[in-house]
Amino acid sequence: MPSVFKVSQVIGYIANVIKRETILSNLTIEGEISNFADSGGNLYFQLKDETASLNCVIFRNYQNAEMRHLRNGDRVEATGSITTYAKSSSYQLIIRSVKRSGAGDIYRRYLELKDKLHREGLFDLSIKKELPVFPCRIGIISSLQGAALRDILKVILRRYPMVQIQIHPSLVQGPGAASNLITALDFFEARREVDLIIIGRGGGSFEDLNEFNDEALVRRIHRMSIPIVAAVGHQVDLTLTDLVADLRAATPTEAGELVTRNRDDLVIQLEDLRKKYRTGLRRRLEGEAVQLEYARHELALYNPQMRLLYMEKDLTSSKRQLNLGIMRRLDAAKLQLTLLKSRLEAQDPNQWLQKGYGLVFSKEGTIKSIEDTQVGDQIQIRLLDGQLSCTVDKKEGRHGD
Amino acid sequence: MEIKLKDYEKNLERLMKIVNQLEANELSLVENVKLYEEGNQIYAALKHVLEDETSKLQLVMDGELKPIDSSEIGGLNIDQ
Repeated sequence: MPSVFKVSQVIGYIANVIKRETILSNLTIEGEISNFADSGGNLYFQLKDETASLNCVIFRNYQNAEMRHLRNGDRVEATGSITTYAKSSSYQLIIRSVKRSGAGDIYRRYLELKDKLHREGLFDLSIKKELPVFPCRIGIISSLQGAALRDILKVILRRYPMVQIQIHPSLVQGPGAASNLITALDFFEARREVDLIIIGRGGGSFEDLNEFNDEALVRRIHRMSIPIVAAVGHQVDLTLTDLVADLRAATPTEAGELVTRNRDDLVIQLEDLRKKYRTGLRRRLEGEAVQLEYARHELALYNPQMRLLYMEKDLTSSKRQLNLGIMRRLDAAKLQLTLLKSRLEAQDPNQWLQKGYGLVFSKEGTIKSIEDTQVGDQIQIRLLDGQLSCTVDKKEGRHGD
Repeated sequence: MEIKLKDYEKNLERLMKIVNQLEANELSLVENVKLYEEGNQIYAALKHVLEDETSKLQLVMDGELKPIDSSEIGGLNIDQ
């Protein structure tokens, strides 16, 4: 080896020495976190004990939710390997996994409280209150300066501008925020004017959102008679306020959407109903018109005028029949009369007188027999052109009688 | 006829019932016409509710509700 080295040669040598040390390539170190920083998605901090500190990094690929919730003061057992960093001639622990150690750290308390409240039933789905479908007044608890309030208002006023909104400003992070939020909840609960309350803020670190894990706040929300919609942070951030709320929105914007109906949809629904009841009546009227027309036909059958017409027709027909009968009877009578006449004519004495017969009679009547008269009686003989007065001289029976 | 927003749902349900009754066609014509008129009134009142643009914003200051305009909220530009 030469007696004079270049810097990079020495650094490279040290790096090789360290790399060959199997202990350094996989070891677990206990310490307290300090100087925690998130840079470019990688987490940088120092692990320290009473006398020394060690640079640590958790690269993005190795991170999990719990790692992102680490904060200064947490005691952890970090497992990884020591590597060198040539540029600054330093070494560091590249962490692959982290286990919390010790007691009293914030995340641990969060988990313990969550577990406790869960066992008490504060997060039970069965106790969730239902949101009103058409809220008239909406309460909002948030920071006046935050984007969350702006997002919530924007959505509500666009979708559902008929509503009244009461805003109670509140701290949403840092010491005192939880009791501030409780004051706001008390205000709305006491007045009982709002139909629901949105409580929320925008996204942030675990520490930023930690006031929403406050036990007193969570219990206050649990006791509220007004439905609570929580919109704390973003989808990945889950606070105890989110768990205890009656409804959890992933974002403030979603909270605005969840609590309101879209007015445009309501107008469409209303117009649709109008069309339906109009069609309903029109169909009914059309149906009635058909029935009416039918009834008119039915009624026409019983029209008295029509009946009179029918009766008149009947009468005419009867009259004709009657006439016919009378005519027949007359004809028969005429025929009979003619017959009688000819029979009568056959009996006309004139026809006998014409042939030379005479009609003999006396005052007593027609003389048909010699017995009807006496010798010396005056008798009359009627001939065709007059009559003779005669005296009976002699009576002689016929054929010697 | 005037309907408040808080009675919107109740009246909407009534209107739906009227539609169902009119479509079922089981009532007398007089009753149908009455229902139609009632439906028309409810429709108009509900429409009126939806057209109410006078959103009322109130801000709690010193424990009191004060009416404010949306533009008054510091740093907020919600009209965009």
